[in-house]
Amino acid sequence: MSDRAKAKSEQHLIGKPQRKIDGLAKSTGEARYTDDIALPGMLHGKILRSPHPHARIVSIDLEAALAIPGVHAAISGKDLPVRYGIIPWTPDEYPLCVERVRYIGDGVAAVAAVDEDTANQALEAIRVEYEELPAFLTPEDALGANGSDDAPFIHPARKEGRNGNVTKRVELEFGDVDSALAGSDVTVEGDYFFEGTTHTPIEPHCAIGQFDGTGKLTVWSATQVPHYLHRELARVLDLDPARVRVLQPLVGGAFGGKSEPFDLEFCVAKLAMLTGRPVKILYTREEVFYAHRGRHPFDMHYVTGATRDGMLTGVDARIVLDGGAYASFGLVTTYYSGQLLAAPYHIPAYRFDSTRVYTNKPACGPKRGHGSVQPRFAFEVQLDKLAEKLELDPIEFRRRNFMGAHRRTVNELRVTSNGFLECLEAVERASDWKEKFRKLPMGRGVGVAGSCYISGTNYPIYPNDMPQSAIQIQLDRSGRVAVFSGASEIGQGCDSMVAYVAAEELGVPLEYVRVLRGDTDFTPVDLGAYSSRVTFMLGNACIDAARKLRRKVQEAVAEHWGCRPAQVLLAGGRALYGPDTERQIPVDEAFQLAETRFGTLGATGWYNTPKDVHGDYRGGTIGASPAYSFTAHVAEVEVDEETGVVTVDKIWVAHDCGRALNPVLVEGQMEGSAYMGFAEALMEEHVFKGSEQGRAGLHNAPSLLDYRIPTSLDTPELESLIVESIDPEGPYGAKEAGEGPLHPSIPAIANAIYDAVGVRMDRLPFSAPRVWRALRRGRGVVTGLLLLAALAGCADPVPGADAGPARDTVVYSATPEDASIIRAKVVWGREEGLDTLAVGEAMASLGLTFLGTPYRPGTLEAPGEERVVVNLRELDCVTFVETVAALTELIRDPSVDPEADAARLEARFARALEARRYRGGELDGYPSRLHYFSEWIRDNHERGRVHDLTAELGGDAYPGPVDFMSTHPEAYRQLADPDVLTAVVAMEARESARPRFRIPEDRIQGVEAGIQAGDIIAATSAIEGLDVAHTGIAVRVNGRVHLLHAPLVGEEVQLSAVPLADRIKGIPGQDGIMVARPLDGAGVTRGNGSEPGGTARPTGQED
Amino acid sequence: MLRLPPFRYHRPDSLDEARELLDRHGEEAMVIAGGTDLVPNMKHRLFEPSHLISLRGLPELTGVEERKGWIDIGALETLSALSTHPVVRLRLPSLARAAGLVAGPQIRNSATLGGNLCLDTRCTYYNQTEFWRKALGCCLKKDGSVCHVTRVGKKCVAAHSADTPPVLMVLGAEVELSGPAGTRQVPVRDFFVTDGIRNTVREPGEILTRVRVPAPSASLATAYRKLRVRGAIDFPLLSIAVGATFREDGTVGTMSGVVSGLGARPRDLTGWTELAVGSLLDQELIEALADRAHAQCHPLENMIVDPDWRREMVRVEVARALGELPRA
Repeated sequence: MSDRAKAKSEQHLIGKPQRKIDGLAKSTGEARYTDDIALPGMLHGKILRSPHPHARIVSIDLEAALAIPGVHAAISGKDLPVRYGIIPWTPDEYPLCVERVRYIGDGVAAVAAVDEDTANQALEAIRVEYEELPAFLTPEDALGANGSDDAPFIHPARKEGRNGNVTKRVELEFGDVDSALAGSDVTVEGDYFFEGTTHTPIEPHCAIGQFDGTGKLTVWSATQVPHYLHRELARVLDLDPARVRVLQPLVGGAFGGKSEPFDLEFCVAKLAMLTGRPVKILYTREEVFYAHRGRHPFDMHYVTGATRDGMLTGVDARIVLDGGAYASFGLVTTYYSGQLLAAPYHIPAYRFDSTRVYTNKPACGPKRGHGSVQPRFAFEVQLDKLAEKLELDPIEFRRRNFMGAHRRTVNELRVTSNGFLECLEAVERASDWKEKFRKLPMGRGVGVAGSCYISGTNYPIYPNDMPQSAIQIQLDRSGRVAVFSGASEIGQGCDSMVAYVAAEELGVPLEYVRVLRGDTDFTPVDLGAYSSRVTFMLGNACIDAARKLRRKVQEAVAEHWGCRPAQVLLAGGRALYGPDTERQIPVDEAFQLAETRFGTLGATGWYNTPKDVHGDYRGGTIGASPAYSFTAHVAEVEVDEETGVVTVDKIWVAHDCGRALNPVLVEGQMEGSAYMGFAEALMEEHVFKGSEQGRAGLHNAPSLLDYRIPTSLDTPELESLIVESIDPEGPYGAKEAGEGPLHPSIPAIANAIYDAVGVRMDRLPFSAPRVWRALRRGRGVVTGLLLLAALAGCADPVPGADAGPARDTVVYSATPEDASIIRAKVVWGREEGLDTLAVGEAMASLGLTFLGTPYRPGTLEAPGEERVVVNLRELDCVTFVETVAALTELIRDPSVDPEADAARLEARFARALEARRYRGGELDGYPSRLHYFSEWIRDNHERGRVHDLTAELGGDAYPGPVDFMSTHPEAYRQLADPDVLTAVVAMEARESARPRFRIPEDRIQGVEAGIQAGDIIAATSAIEGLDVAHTGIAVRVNGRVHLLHAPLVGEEVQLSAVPLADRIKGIPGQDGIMVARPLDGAGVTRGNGSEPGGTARPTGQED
Repeated sequence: MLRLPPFRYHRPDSLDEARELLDRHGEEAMVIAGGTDLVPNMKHRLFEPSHLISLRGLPELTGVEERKGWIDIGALETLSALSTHPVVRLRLPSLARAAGLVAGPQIRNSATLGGNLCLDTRCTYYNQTEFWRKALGCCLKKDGSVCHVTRVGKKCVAAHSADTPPVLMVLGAEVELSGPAGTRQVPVRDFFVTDGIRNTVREPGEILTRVRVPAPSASLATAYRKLRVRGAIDFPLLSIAVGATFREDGTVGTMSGVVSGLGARPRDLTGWTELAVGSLLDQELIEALADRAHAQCHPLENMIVDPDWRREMVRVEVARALGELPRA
């Protein structure tokens, strides 16, 4: 390493753990928040709120309130009759309601008084007369409205004939989605519901207004968008923006909940203007819930397709957003609900249709991960379902579909750096994924999910081409660096970030940097803390300003030393001569040289976004960001099957933040995000009462006692794994870290719950009662549901095999006795070492343990829908063979734990049965059952479960029609259904045309040497239209092949008294055999290339 | 921030002085100890006393000691103190556990045993701000005439939500009430009544001064379980206390159980003696006892948690509590 490089690396701040510059003040209580400010003569304001979800305001009488001693002013909507809204195209709010209230909690009037108690008393004295209107509480209600006078829309329609309850509808299609899905080998379709959640910052909203004698308005506010507040205050109050000042004290958390103006800010301003005294309003916690602007409830429908080799083909999404009473950021939310899904996977064709609807509830808006957390949940669960169908490891599936770096998405977003693959690898390795996925005992599971997010938006909220972020730096001859930053410190650390950058660039110790902040009077404009824009934009702006000053200092020192400016390094509080770092002066001396040479040292710096990198379509600018972050999570959960309680033990969080300017703060953001997602996954539910609960639209419980967020005791262990992809345009390569890492928490937990207990949680939150209900639904005593989740050994398809779809679930029936037989057989088989034998030998040995089991025909013909009937108590010739084969699979599969609970074990067994009994290994109604045993053999042969030896052993072609079922429809109750009958006839026609082989009865003895113990024997039928009459398992007795079988004659499982060859000869209805050898391995499931249609097994085939 | 209604605060130094203040201010006065229940309720305008009489300075209401076959606990002892007190932990471990499961550490540092016994019943339609309750239409427990839980009933079904009383009932404890007419002892079992509006027999002029627990025999085993969403803060969605003695042959000698978090009064489970006494507490018996409890307990929508689930959890939690009984 050169001296120069060494000197620099030792002195670098960037990339190393640093303290937050305000950390000590915040932890000691020294830090000042808005409510800590008390100005001389300050009054206290309160806002009267609507008790009705939807009503006309008939009259408001403020007189009685104003008459109370100590009350200085009272205002209502008519005092501030200017509409505002954060999105310039959808201004639909008034500071206080004018004519109409739209949710319980909507502000109606405000007062200023000498203290809070007097102000509260004044509110009680205000008389408001309302005329109640029908309230729309669900998107369905709102969409069904016709806007009559008796039941008006929540907002008037913007165009005649439109539904005024629709805020925004976006329909975009990229590529031909219908063709892509139609051409997919597998598709998954699902409905998902994301319940709304809110931000719950520790600090409630608070604002103070002051209006001085010169006509200048000053507002202090706990906002995350001082610039937009500045604009809207000037507009609504009709003031010259140059005479409005907004100060932003430290903010005690925001998470998107303070990213637009709120009623209290206009009210303190107006009340201060009226009274000439400062006025403060502090929300109660209840009011914070009413102000809301939290995550929208999303009702989502997704269809996702893939090829059989696991490449995504297309995505079709339909989303309804429940917006609440006002637009807020809703226009953007509606776009984001679709636009931000297009990475990190390559999606060849994508369509979304999103509609945001007004309802009479507090307005929804942006919450950490604005608009994209909900679809990401649905989509990543869709991917999990697809991976399962494809029998692919879900991490491998995601890896295959990685879009790559420096690419455009299907909706033309420009993606630069992309470390998603590294994120996947990091969580896979750290979580020990391969040893856990589908391998943990029942009740424990792991799940994975990925995501992407923006680092700010290329286009600001109101159209303009000015810098999005700017900073000013001034150097002093003492070495002090003053940074004037208009960015919003909401706890995320942006003040610290600019301090690190300034110290890095100017070579001063961190303590020399002062960040002077949060005051529109002396800081350049920054647009605010939203959309994860600040590090990227402000960081670049700060580098810009600092380098302008650094160059001056270098030049002055170079002149002094007689060297080139580039040879002057600024680091560690010194200016050093690069070629010989022993030569150095303290940095304050360097600044003095520069001040002497150039005069007072100051510079501004700024950043603006690229504007030409978006799609050329309406809305194509929304979602466009200078850079995207990427995240992958693995969650490990435990599910208490009795209670439904989900415990998340750990989340591994890998995040590509481009470059970690301060890894401690990046980890803090990653952990905080993962925590917040976890909270939404398990607990949070921002819901409202319906009319049946006394008051439609009333918040369910606006308090932190009942709106539960996890305590430290509930929070999982979080392991942060920083991935650095070094973005070409980010400051030092940095991208965002504050929102992206939230997204995968929720789907990773959902997928882990599925791995643990086999239930899909497609509706949030995964609270204990919900999971308990899902488990009950999923595990009825008679009908059980289990996903392949339980199925170890199916995750890795046989190389080169035709891996096709496998079902999400197996629908089966069983009794407790069956479960105990399965358990006993598996335990016995393991004790006997059957898992060490060839599969045929194991089957023969196991089959013998069934001797004496009663014979019973027709056990599969249970009433109702076709399902996998598990019955080890009573067997017929085919169920005997299937049962023995399936049990052998369980014995030989080391991941099967015979001590696992009954439901898991029997579901695992049912899946093994299904894999043999149904065409393609997949139950799809009665016609999918392999009724004709010759087809059973061929289908299982094609899927690698057995090898058909008949032809190899010298069998003859055995042509002839199979049509026994359709010619005896009265024998099959299911054939009463004409559709089933049609399917069966089609199947028979197909089967009749297929080659089939048989070893005639007189040649059986001659091929006995080629038959092994455990081979499956089918006795061919002499009956017209029927292929096979009987089945069993070959067993060797004194050198001869005998048949182990469940025959009608004898009525129990038995071993044939005479050798097989002699037996067949002795039975008139049977004229030969087919031989199929069970194979090792789990077998593979055939693709869905098999023709549609059905088959049927003839009854009466047993002898 | 929510404001407290105005009141005058009194801090007497003796029980006599406190009772005298209580007499003097009558219905306008309330007593306050830790205040963790009363203060938020006052902020919600559920109570608006003009006088608050603090019990904090009363030496008569402090101390934990074992004497004459009783463990005697002053009502002012905080839940933190109880959960860490060596005598309580050793002799009454389930009481220590129940006290330690209340809310969080800061609240337990202030909340008292007497306050826990006198905790107001809770309901999702009641423990809300005045604005919220008025928007809903007030309920019959406060300022209204309807019950939003049952919709038709004229009886308040707000839930007893304190953690220590179920354990105290199983232990056979009694409380001492000091009033104008003198001092009386009331078994905790009889302290509660099925009236959600005022669920104890304590008269307005009475102060709960002490709690006495019979020193448990060595063979008494107890357990306490609390069902809640979070690991801290939450009131119980359901709470279970069980107590049993075992004979030398291992069979059950006595068996009792209390379930709370349902209605206004903790529910003494019936029919357990017949089922359990003389039998071994095996899985079969545990399931039978749990089934019996399940049949008796019917959670209502007085909490915003699925009542069907809560009902099913009666069976699960009772079985788990029985499984947790320490066995010799």
